[in-house]
Amino acid sequence: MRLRLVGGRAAKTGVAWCALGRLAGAQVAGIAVDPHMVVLTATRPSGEITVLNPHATRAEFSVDLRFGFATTDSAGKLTVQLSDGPDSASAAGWIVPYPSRFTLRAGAQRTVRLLAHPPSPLVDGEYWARITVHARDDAPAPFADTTDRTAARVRIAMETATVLPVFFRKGVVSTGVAIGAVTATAASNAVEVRATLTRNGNAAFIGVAHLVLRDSTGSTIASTDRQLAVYRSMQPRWTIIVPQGIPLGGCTVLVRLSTDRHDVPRNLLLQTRSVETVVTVSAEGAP
Amino acid sequence: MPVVTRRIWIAAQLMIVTALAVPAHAQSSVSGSLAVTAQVVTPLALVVSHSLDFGRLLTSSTKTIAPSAATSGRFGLIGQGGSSITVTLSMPASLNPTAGQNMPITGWTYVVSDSPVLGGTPVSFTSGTSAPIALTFASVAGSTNMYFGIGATVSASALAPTTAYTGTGQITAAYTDL
Repeated sequence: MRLRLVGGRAAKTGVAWCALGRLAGAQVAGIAVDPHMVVLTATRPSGEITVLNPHATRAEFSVDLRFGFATTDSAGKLTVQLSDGPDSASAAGWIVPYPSRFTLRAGAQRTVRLLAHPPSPLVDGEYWARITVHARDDAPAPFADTTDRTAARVRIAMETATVLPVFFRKGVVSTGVAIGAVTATAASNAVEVRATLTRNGNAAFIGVAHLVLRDSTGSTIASTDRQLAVYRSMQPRWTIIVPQGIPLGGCTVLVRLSTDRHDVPRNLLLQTRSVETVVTVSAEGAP
Repeated sequence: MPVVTRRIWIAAQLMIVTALAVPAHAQSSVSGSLAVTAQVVTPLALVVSHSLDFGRLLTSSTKTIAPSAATSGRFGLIGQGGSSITVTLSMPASLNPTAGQNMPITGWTYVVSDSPVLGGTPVSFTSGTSAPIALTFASVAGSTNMYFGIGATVSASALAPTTAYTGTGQITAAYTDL
C-alpha cells in the first residue's frame, strides 16, 4: 500500500512537472499548485497543498482563503463567485493555511498545510472556501541598459495567482441535482443548450453533463461532455457543435448529469444517482 | 535553461519511481489478481514566459504592442483535459517612473489559443480587473496547454522623463468546474 501511494503521488507530480516543461521560453513568473482540490473532514481536519515555483529566479508566495463557489454568470458561462461577506456555508474564516507567506528559489516547491478549526456547534453538511495562492517576482530583472537617457524604457511585470476549492465535510453529507427548465436552440452549425440546475442534499454536486444530440430517428448526431459543479443553483449554457449541413428539425437533446468524474479521486467524490431529461431542439428565434 | 533541465530530470525520476513501484506492489501478492487504478490528474499551472516589454520609447511618441507580437506579455496554462477555468486579467492604467509623472497605458488586448503561435482576433479589455475569461481545456486524456498574449499602447508626452517606467499586472486562474 505504501508503494502504491508513493507511486500515485509521484505520477501525479511527475506529469505536472513534465507538463510545465512543455511551455516554451524562459519563465519569468508562474505558479503551480497540487492537488486541484482539498477535502477536510471533522475527523481529518488537516490537509495540504504543494506549491511549485517554476520561475527562473526566487519568488514570493502568499496564501489566503475567501468564501466562494462555482456558479454561472447571466450568459451561462461558468465563473467563481468570491465573497468576503458572511455566509452559512463559508469555511473561509476557520481554515488556516500555514505558512501563509514564504519565498521559493527557482524550481523549488513547498508544502502548505491547511488546518480547520470549525466552530461548535456546527450543523452537518459541507462548508466551502477558495484558496488563492499568489506568486510574485522577488527580484524583478533590471533593465538591460540603465545608462540610456535618450528614451524612456517601459515594461509590465506579471504576477500570478491560482484559485482552487477547499471543502470541509461534517457528519452526514449527501448531494444530488435536479434539472429544471431546459432549452435547446439551433444555431449556426451548433445547438445551444441552457438548463436550470439546482443542487439537492447538503453538499456540492461535482459531476459532468453528458449532452447527446439525436435526430428524429434516434440516431446520435453529436455528443459532448462538460464538467461542472453545482453548489446552489445555476444556469449553464452548453454548445454542441454540429457537422455542417445537418438538418436540426425534429432533433432532440438528451441532458444527463452524473458524478462520473475521472479527475476527482473516488474517495473524495460524493456519489449520487444520475438524472436526465430530453428536450426538443427549437429553431433560432422561435419562442 | 538549467532549471528546466533539472525539473524534467526530477520528473523523469518520479516517473521511474512510479513505473517501478506498481510492479513491485503487484509482485507482493502471492495469488489472485490485483486491480491497480491510478488517477493521474494534472494540477493547474500558470507560467509567464515573457513580460510585456515596450523597450525604448522616445518622447512625444506612441507605441502599440499587439498581443501576438514577439514582445507581448506571454503566459501559458497547463491543465487537465476537459477542465474548465476562468482567467482574470488585472492590468494597470498607468506606469510609474522612478521620478516624475506617470505614463498612461491604454488599449489593452489579449488573444488566447491552443497553439503557442497566437492567432485569432484580439479581444479588448479595460485596465483594472477584466471580466472573467471562461475557458475549457480540450477534452483529451492527460494535460493540455493554452496560450495567452497580452498587448497594450503607451504614449510618452514631450515632457515625459526619459527614465524607466514599470507596472505590474496580475493574472488569476480559477477552477470553475470544482
